[in-house]
Amino acid sequence: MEFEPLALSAGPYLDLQCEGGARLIGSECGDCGHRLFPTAAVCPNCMSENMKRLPLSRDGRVYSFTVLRQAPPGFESPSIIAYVDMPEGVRIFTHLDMQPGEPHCDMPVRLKPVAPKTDKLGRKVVQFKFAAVENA
Amino acid sequence: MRSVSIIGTGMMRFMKRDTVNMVDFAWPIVKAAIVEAGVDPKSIGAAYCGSAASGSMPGQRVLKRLGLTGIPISNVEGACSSSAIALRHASLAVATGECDVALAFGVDQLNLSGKTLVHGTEDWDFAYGLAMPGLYAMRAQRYMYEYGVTIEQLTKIAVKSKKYGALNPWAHFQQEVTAEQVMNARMVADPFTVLHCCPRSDGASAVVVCASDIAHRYSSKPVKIVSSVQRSGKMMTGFRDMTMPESTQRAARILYEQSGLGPEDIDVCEVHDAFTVNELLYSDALGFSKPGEAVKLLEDGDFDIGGRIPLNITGGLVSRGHPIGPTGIAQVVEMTHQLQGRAGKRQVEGAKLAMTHVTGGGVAGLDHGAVTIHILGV
Ligand SMILES: [Zn+2]
Repeated sequence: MEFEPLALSAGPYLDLQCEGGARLIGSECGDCGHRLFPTAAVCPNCMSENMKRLPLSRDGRVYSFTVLRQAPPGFESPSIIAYVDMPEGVRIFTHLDMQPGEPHCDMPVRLKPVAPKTDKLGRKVVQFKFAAVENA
Repeated sequence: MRSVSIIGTGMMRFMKRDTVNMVDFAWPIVKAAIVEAGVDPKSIGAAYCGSAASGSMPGQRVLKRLGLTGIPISNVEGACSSSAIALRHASLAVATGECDVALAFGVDQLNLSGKTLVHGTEDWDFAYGLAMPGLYAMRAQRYMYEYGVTIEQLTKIAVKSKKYGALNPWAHFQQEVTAEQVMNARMVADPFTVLHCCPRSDGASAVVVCASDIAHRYSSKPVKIVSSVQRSGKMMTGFRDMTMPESTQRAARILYEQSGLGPEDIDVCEVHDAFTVNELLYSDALGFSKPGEAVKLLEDGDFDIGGRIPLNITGGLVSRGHPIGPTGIAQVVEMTHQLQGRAGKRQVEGAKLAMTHVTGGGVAGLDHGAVTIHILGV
């Protein structure tokens, strides 16, 4: 199954049934090759609407991270959040499945689907995190 | 384009003000700027209000109290840049000859509206749990990682900020703190404790501008707007360098090019220090230091009064407070007073050129939604 949009104008962004396991889904522009996550209907580089589905690699690298002690409503506190750089050249905002003190910049990490929790508005909020490669 | 000068200022202490309506604390600040300018209110040809969390038409709601209506009133929203953009537009109205005198002010009341910034629900990062302290904390983590900056050094920025806030009657926080107090305060987002972060404030700020060739009719010490640049961050989906805010760096290059000035010419500067690490990020981006080297200026006292480039010697956002909308003009009022020699205990002697820099964040893919930089001079 693909997870439905969380951000209101984003398309499905997580596919659990990809060959070889779960993948995040981005977009690649069919005209200029620009890539981004999550999926988009129009290319921010050339305005083309010829956007193709782009399953992303499972492995990335932590660009930066922090422990947000008071997370926004609907998210667990503390939240360990990060930007993870993917081999496809896109950067993903995500949560890390780790303890405070564990993450560091340039740490290799792997996609890890997690059981979604329902927030106060009934949305299934955190559906994937990234984890240390040996724990993913 | 005509040259434009600041001839009147209005400012108040930023603090929690949740027992009065914002209109009631804002009109006296606008009136103070008009009275200081000594202009006939009827000569004001246009007004611009910067506000980020006050709903529809805060400009009209404040100005009707003073009967300052009938003229074009434009409400400007640009997050933390709101009132700096309002000032830029007021200046442009005068520069283009649309009018001779214009008003710009900022107002917000975060403690009553219950809002800080409202992010778009379409925005992945914020929809998936990002908050502004977390974003800046990640900038700090990467900056520390790449340049070997320590938490003790970031703490020194907080201590410095509170030291100058204690000298500023307009500051939300007017108490000095020790490094131990900063380190032991409540953690918000590693590496920031609460004393690394700007408080949620309420307030208003205002300036009156006019054509420079008539400024001496009104003010014995008009302050010229030497240069003004506004930009938005570029949409980037790939591997952005979060230690170098590209929009600030780009805007600064344009500013220096159009003014013929360089970073070495600036005597005193206010940067958008919503969090302590910003002083390092923006010192590098504005060219006061090479990338990664701002911490040397900090350690050498160059960001202090008497140093090479006194930075946020008003206490900045971390101590003066950050009501969002009014913040940009608050910086401009403070720097105007510096150039007029009326900054009291925080005066930088002989200051001739001052810079104000404010960003406006909260749009994923852009390093900042907005950046606004002014150089003021006498
Ligand atoms: Zn394209």
